[in-house]
Amino acid sequence: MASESKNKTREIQIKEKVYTTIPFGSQHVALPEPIKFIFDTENEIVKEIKFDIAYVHRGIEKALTTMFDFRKAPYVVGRVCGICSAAHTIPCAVVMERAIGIDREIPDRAKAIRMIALEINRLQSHFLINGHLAEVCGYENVFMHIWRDREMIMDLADMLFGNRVQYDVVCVGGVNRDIPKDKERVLLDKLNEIEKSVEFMEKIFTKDRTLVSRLKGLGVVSKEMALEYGIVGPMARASGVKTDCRVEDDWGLYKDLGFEMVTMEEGDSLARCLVRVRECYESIRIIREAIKSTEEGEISIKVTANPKYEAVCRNEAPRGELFYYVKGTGGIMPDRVRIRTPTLANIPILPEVMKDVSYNDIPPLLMSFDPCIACTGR
Amino acid sequence: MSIFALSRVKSPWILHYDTGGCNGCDIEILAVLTPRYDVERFGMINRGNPKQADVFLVTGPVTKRCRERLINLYLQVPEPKVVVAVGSCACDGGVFRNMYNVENGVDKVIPVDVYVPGCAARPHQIIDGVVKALEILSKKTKENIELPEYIKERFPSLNDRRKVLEEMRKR
Ligand code: SF4
Repeated sequence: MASESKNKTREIQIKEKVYTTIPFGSQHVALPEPIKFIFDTENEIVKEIKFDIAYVHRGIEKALTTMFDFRKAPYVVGRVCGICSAAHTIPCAVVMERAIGIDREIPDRAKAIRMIALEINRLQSHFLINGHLAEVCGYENVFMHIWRDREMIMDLADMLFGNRVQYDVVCVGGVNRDIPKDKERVLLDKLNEIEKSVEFMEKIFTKDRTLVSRLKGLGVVSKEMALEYGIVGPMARASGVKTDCRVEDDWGLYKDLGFEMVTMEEGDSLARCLVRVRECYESIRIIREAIKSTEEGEISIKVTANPKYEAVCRNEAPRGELFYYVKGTGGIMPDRVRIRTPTLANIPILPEVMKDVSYNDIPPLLMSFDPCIACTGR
Repeated sequence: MSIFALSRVKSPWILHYDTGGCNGCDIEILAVLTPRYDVERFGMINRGNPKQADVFLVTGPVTKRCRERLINLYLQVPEPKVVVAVGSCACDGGVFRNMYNVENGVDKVIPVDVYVPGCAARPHQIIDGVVKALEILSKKTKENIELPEYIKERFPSLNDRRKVLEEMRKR
């Protein structure tokens, strides 16, 4: 009799609340990078999140001041992150130029080629993350489609810069190789095809009922919250914050080419995804304009001095604002290099948004944040 | 060739772990699984489960924190297995060589069978490397297991090593 009543109370307790701790990572099939989450859940509702992002710390900032001279620095920081490699090499080169004091003399053609590299980089990154987002929502088919189309962009990068992932086209003082006329033509042709696949992507993410209802209203970040936490990039733009370092910093020709910012007001996962899709159109337009506005010609200037000033550069990586600081002393290696990556700015809001979300909504939510761990760990 | 060995080569399952590289090679491994390169025609699937894997793809220069996890994963993969180091930085540290938090390559920690160079390694190269690895896998049996360096260090006496080997064969 006594044991029966005990059993009953246990049953009732189980019905009321079940606490489970779910570890996720550091090795998992859904994660290409080592990151570890621990979710404390109550009846499948996430109550507390702990995460660990420092598995991949390699010490690149230190190495830039002790192992590599400043001319090699852009190639080294390209290896901070393979998804946004061009986004890292450009501000590093620019910041070194500013520390030397030659950033006003960079030829326009070099600036245009840098912009093309950055935008191709952004295209492939946005394709990648939208494909992943579709996959974690259960649309493996869409994932395969998007990644097949992504190969066109990778081919373009291969043709223009000679490598699929690490472009290494940007150097201190300009760029390493020009884009000849015949390749320009191929590039413009291919862009039309890529535009079509962006249209396909937009159609799926706006028309497909299952995807839309899965992502709509998930993980809403209001404008006030976005400003308070200081989030950056497509995430901030999806919440209606007008911020884009492509117009805020002036290393490129973005202002001359009439850059238009993509913003949305909703701030949910769907909005973040759609901002990325619509940015693809803008990227394609910028590449076309950049090709048209400049002619083949001088692509780099001679660098004779060493960095001697303090300088900063802000660049818009696919994931948001990327900040470089350098302090030169006139020697061949700078005194201090500091990299602040976009994911670092976007992570503090993560536990806030994930709270009280059902556990099965975590993967799409996480993917819509687009975290990059290799950048953050360095 | 026994039927197990034959089927292992016909349908090897992949385990992939990033030990601190730049993601470049990880993305290329993912690209290998997608329609353009379609590695599934060799019967390969990416399963995140070490207990079911035959081919262990490792990228990255092995940071100090990833070292223990890498060893742990390596020991969990059942024998016989092959390890493929993908990317220059997995082969010998690459651009990260001698930075203060890295171990200069996968082979400093676990035995490596195939090295795929390139920064980033191209998908064609990765496929080529994995197919080479399958040749090696077909020759491996549970009998000729090579013990990793750190196990030899930890167990200097031959008797202890024999026990470890037996333990590994049971998996
Ligand atoms: S080999 Fe190069 S591209 Fe590949 S993970 Fe290492 S640094 Fe990145």
